[in-house]
Amino acid sequence: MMLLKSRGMCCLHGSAWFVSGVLLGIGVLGFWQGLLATTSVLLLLFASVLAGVLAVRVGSPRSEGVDEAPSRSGVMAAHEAHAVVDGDSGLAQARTHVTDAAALFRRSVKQAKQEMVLLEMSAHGLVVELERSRGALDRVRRERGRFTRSFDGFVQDFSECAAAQEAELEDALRFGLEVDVAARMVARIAKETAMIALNASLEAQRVGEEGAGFHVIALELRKLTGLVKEANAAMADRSRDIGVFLPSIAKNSARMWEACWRVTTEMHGHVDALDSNYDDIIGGVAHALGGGETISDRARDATEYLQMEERMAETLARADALIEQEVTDQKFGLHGAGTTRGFSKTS
Amino acid sequence: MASILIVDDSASTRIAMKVLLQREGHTVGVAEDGLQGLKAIETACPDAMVMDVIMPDMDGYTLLHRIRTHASPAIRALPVVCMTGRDKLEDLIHGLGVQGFVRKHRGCLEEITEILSHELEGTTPAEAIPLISQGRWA
Repeated sequence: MMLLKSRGMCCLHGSAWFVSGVLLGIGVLGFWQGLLATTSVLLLLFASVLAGVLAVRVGSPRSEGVDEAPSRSGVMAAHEAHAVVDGDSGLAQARTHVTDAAALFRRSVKQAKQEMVLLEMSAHGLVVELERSRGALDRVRRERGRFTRSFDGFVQDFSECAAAQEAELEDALRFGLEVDVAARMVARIAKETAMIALNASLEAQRVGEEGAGFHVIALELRKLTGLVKEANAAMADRSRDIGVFLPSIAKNSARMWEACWRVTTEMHGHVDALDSNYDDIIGGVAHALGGGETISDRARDATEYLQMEERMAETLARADALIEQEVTDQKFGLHGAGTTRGFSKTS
Repeated sequence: MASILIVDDSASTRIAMKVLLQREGHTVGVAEDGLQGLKAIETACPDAMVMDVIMPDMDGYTLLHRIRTHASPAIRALPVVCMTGRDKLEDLIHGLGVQGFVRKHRGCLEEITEILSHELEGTTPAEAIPLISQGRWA
């Protein structure tokens, strides 16, 4: 409107000067040529009056142009002001953006909070499972301890049995040696007895009929000596058998020890390998446990940050409401009635 | 015949190895952990030692370190055969200076005796003692 008014005034100024100039020119020309002198004078007077009236009516363009002639920035500002009143303004666009941002913020914060809750629950579940795994590993370690103690007990028992067997074998060896000595003694006695029986038999034959009884006795004695020899030979054979069996028993016992050693070392090798793996696993579990707790802590921290984001979303929503109010105020010409100041303060 | 110290926290290993090394003709002493082992070494310096690595109170690393840094030259030079089921320890143990690293398995006694016989060449060769001879069992 202002622009139009300015333009109208500008046109009025131009026409007035143009008409005054034409009338003045005609007047001067008529005066100089002596024609229509009265008419020329009248025209001059009319042009002067018209120029004065116009000067009073709209003022001189040169003297009032500084205040009222529109500059380029003024025109743009007028346009913007016009657009604001019409609702097609940057403020309205800003309001749209803020509305969208607030909605997006609310949605993303809500989604992120849900995800954080799930993450925290998952981390908590992970920690619980890892604690359970660690408990199970501790039980495995205890069982391993029981097993190795049982095995050590078995080897200890085996060792004691072997020691008892050693003592018994040594007794058996000593007994065999004693039997051997006794058998040799018996053999010597039997030999001497047989010799005595032979001599007694010869002496009885030399005496004749009176020695017949002694002869019979000598023969019986020789028979008994033969039996003793047979028994002694059998005993010597058994003694030799013992001499063979005992080292064989000892050799088998040694093989048992070797087997025991193989089982022991192999078992301890496996136990050591298990221990090594156990250490790796328990280290991994402890590491993962730390990681799970860290995730849980981070999730809690993130939830706190999200609460801040939530407050940010609320602020955006409030800004949105205030901008809406501002736009409404402008539409209804209430600009400056207080709401704008309120918005400025809130912002 | 050489004197050999066995240091192992496993009773079964101590018993079985003692019997079998005695059969080889060695005099064998036993210790349950590194502390006992160190005391035994300082008391009666053996010709060689066979030890486990993972033990309570004082483990094999510490014992070996104490041996290699001992004031007595004889103890510092003690031949040591390490026996364990943990393969990962080999480099670490070799770094501390051992004459042999034997993994625990069924044939490891032969490896141990081979290393010991190589290390104990200067000592009187041990005659295998028959199980029943001179009134002695194993």
